Amino acid sequence: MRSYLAGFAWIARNWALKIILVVTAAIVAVCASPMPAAADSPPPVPVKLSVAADTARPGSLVLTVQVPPTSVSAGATVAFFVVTKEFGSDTEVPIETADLSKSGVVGIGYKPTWNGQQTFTVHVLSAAGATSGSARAGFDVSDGSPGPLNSVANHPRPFSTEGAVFLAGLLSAVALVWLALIATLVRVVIRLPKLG
Amino acid sequence: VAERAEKQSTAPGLREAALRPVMQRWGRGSWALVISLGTLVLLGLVAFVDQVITGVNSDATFWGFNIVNFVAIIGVSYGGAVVSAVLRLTGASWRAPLTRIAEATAVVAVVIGGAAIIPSVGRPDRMWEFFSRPNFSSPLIWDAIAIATYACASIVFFYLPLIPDLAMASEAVGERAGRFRRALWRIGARGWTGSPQQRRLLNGSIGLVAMIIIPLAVSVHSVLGWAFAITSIRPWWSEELWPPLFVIAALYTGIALVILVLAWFRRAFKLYEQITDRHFVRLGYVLVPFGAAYLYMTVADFLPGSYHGQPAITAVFKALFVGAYAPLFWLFVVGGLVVPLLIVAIPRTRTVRWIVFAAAAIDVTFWVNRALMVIVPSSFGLNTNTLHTVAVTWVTPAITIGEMAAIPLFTFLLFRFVPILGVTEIEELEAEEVAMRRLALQGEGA
Repeated sequence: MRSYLAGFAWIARNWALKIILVVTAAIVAVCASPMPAAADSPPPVPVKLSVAADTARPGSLVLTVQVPPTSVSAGATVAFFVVTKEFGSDTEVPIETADLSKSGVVGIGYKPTWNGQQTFTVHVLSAAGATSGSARAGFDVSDGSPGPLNSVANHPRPFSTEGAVFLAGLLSAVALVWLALIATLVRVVIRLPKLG
Repeated sequence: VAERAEKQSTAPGLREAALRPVMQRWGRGSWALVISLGTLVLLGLVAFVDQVITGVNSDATFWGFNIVNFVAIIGVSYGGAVVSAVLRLTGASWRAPLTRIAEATAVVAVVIGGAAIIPSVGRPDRMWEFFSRPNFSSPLIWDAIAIATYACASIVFFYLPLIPDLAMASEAVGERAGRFRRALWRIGARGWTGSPQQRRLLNGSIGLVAMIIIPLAVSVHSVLGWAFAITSIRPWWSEELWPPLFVIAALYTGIALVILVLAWFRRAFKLYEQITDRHFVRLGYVLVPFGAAYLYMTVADFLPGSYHGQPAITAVFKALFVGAYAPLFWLFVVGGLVVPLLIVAIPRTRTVRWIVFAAAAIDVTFWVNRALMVIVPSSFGLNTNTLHTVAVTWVTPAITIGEMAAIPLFTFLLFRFVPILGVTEIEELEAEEVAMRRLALQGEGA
């Protein structure tokens, strides 16, 4: 009992430990706070997502969302995402959020950045931000001949053509700077003891 | 000069002052500072781990604040290194008590700034591929090359002038320094005895690195500006003005940070004799041309865009001038540019307190300005031609706070290991000044 009391007294004196204890308690309290209970949600709105190559803008896709006009609420928006497995499991990367028209249609343009099968998802959001419906659609980028990405992929980069000399010059300048730095440091480190 | 410098070592006070942060036992204030800053850094790390595990797809501009921090921290690093390099190359004798702190600030900031890019990368575990499979057409690889080169140069530029002071510290403190610090000082001092040959070699090397570091620092911030400008699809990320604008902002905020760090250490370690009011006033004068240049370039940046009235740029500028971001934008213009310039211009406010206030205002409002430069154009929906509302979770502010707290924490810890003042340099410059005065007197006598 006495050793416990001595322990408490030590903690009371040690203000650094007190700070750590208070911070830890605060973190635990925040983590332990209960999650708000989920409210009853209304039935989902039927959403149709279609993806097609944009004939007007080569290299781009058009993502169009259709919702029954009767299901359109005031201030509703549609959030567009492209799905990626880059982060392990399927992750939605935001593309754009657009207002839903009264007729229940909204479309956006999207320029893919890689070839192959791509998956897009959309979520229809109410004015309050609650999701009232979702849809998913896929598109093989190499399908749309000449292919949405082909124009981008085949576009010659300046450094691989006329700029190749410039690139070599830049890399040489960087190499020179590194050489100068290393040589200076080595010279000082090696020669100083000999000059002492 | 060397002999006179030796004779001048009547400055045990100077040596004691330079070693005060190294030798003083930490009081409650120091412990409280280190623990609170350490907790904030830890909070930032927890937020980063959370981001890696749960993803960053909470907002369309989720990466924005991480880029803002990266640009801001690399920027403040630039000021310390360039100020020190320019003052050395121009032979400004008043520089001596400032250079060590300026160079240390540069090193700490560039290391933290370089690490600050990691939270904005989707897959940090693949960052090594950046170098193993470089894409020279991407501005980002040049960013990495420029920052890595500049970081290396900053470390060399910090180390070289430190060599004589490490020898001095080793001699002055002896056993009391503890085994680790003594070993560090002995190895770092490279057998420094202060012989004329050693001085010649070291001064020549410092001069060379000082010459290298200025264009390097300019390149780092130009490349950062170009990284935005090349993404020309975004409104306002103008390719002509942003690189020089970034360079000026970096110098301006960097000098402001040097002022803040100087004021902090002067007060904390009672360095009033070495770091005088005159140093603050002179650094205040150094701020003026950069503040004025930035003000001019801000007008030059906004005027043509406002005039030609392209829808996207108009929407962004409207949001800045009179819209949702107007309070922040005008806070930056007034607090970061107009007020600091007035503080230095008016003789009554040209005091340490006011100059420190101006420096703090500059660093805070320029972070806000960079946030506006990055976030507002990013939040412009190119399909809808409207600005989206920016929302952040707890993660990005926590990472921001953690990164900002890391700068004072590591600067403070660094000076537990190295002398805070360039003692040898101060003594040499004082001896030079005495010699010059004698020569002048002899000339008058003849």
